[in-house]
Amino acid sequence: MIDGAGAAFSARPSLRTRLVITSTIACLAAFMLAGGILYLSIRDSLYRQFDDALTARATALSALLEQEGSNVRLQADPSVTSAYAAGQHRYYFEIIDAGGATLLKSPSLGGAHLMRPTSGEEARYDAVLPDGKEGRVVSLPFLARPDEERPPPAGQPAIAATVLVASDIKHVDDSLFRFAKQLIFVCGGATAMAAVTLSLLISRQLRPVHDVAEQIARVGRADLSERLDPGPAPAELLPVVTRLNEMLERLGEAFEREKGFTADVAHELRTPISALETALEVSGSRLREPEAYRQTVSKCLRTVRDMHALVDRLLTLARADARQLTVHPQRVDLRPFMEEIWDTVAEQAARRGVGVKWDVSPGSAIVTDPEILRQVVQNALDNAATYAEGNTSVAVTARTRIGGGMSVDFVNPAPGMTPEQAARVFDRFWRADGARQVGHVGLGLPLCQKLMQALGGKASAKIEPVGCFRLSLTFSGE
Amino acid sequence: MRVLFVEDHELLRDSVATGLREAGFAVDTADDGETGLWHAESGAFDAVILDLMLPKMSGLELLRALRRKDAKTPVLVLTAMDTTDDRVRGLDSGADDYLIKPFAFPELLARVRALVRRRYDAKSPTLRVEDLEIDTLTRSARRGGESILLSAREFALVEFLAMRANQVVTRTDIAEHLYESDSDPDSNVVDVFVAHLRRKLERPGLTKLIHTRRGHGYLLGKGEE
Repeated sequence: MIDGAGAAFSARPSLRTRLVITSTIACLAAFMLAGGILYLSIRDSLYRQFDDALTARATALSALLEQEGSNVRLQADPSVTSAYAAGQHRYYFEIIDAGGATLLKSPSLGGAHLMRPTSGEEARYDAVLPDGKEGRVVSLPFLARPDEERPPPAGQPAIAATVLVASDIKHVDDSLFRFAKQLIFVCGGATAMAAVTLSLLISRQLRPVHDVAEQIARVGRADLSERLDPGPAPAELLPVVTRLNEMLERLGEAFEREKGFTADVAHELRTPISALETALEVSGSRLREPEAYRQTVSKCLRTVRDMHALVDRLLTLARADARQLTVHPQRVDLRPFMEEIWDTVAEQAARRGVGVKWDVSPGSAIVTDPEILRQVVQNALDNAATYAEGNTSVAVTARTRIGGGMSVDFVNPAPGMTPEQAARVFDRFWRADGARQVGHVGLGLPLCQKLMQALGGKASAKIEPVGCFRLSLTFSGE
Repeated sequence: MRVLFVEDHELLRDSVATGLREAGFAVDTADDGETGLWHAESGAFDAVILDLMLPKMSGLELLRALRRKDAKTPVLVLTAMDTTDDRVRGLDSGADDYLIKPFAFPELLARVRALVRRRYDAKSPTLRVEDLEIDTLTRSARRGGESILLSAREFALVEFLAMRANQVVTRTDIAEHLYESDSDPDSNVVDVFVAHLRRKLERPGLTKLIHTRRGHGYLLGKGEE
């Protein structure tokens, strides 16, 4: 049983595993986000640098261009122009006029053209280069400088042209790709390290939880007196430990009560059984006069009847404890109902000069289970009649309660009774005088209380200043 | 031999008392702890049988109170409380024996007899004084191999004297140990019974066994007069 539960327990993911997994995922996400941002900003700055370099080239080119009639001419400057030589597939330029027609282009372009800008402004854009590679193009509009040696004829306007410089961007992309690969590798490594560190840290931080769990597992194996030590428990677990200790306390008390109850039951049953056994044994040990047998039989019968009553009460209590009593509510007219029950105890009460005073108006009625109520009232009247001081009377009062419901009180003079004793009347097998009287083993009032609970009401008891014992039964309004 | 039985269950109290009386004991009973203690302190009992759950004063309280004043009277606790703790507590409070309800009456009887023997340092159920042999189990007496027919009272007297053989036993002692508290015999009755017993034990030709110590009491044994 325990092994099965243990296996089911270990099959569950542990708190440690869950924490390690979730915090590792969180770390990975954070690393990826940071890496992504880093990658984008680096790519942006590399592209800008690349474009700036192209712009510088375009500026250098535009400085070398001179107006020659309606056309432009490029001054030879190998330091600038050598990069655009034929057969070289890295840099390209093309000079176009406002209409987009080619005025001049680099030998490296061969027969191809560069992609035109969408506007006449300075622009930077992606384009496919003549060799089919991805590239960047920078367009820079300018006014061609007139040739100082052969100036254009007066009145001829300066040519507004645009320099397009393009270059293959592959090496930048290659660098970015390498960088991205390194970034992923670093992220992965950092995540793995974080996972290991987190696992160690979390294990360490969760040790108090394990300690508490181990303590809880140990509790109750030997006895219920053990308590959890709140020492190692972290703040979050402290309420759990405190509540568990309180629960253990209550369990322990209930357990002790149960043990006491069992001992009492044992005593109350074993004593009459011993009595019957001994009586029959002694009686049968020799031949006796018929009168002696008659007396023994009559005493044994009385003992058996007491045991019968005790067993009935114990069974009712056990059923009430197990909530096995079924309640069939009906309207009960209290006055005749209780008067009928009083008749069963009246004779015994009268022998001690004890009577009854009714303060129950004829119309008083409640809706409840009459059979259970009968047992409650029987025990209440029985108790009052038995323990009332001699030559006094038991007062029975029924009152409608403010806010609905009914309370029925049984009051009997009990001069010697202390409030401490009154507080114990619902303890099973407790008797005010400790005396074993016929039919009185200290279960009547506990039974009353339990049965009132089954009826949805409650029973309470107190000793009043004038020395009267008051048992109050409260029935709820519903 | 006189026994006190403190028990609050009427049928058990009466049945055990009857059984003990029929077995030759004088029995006093009490139905609550306070009365029980009063009896135990005022009477001379050879054994006390004590229930534990008693009204007014618990059996254990009674036992402790009794042991503070009287360390000798053997006490048998007869109770439904059957756990080891209960038994240990009972014995540690001064009980000599512990019997759990329900019990078989013959066992209770045997244990009470054993307690009484221990009280008088007798080990065997058969007592021997000179040529007198007293069997406390069958409650029969023989002298020189010849059985002697004794009444229950006479047997109780000879048993008590034999338990304290060769010691002077006063009339008060005899009255206290052989009669129940409500029978209140005067010393004359004791003398009459001793006389009866003497007639049955001391046939012509046999040595004298019961000696009178004037002003003191009686002595069962050799006498050395």
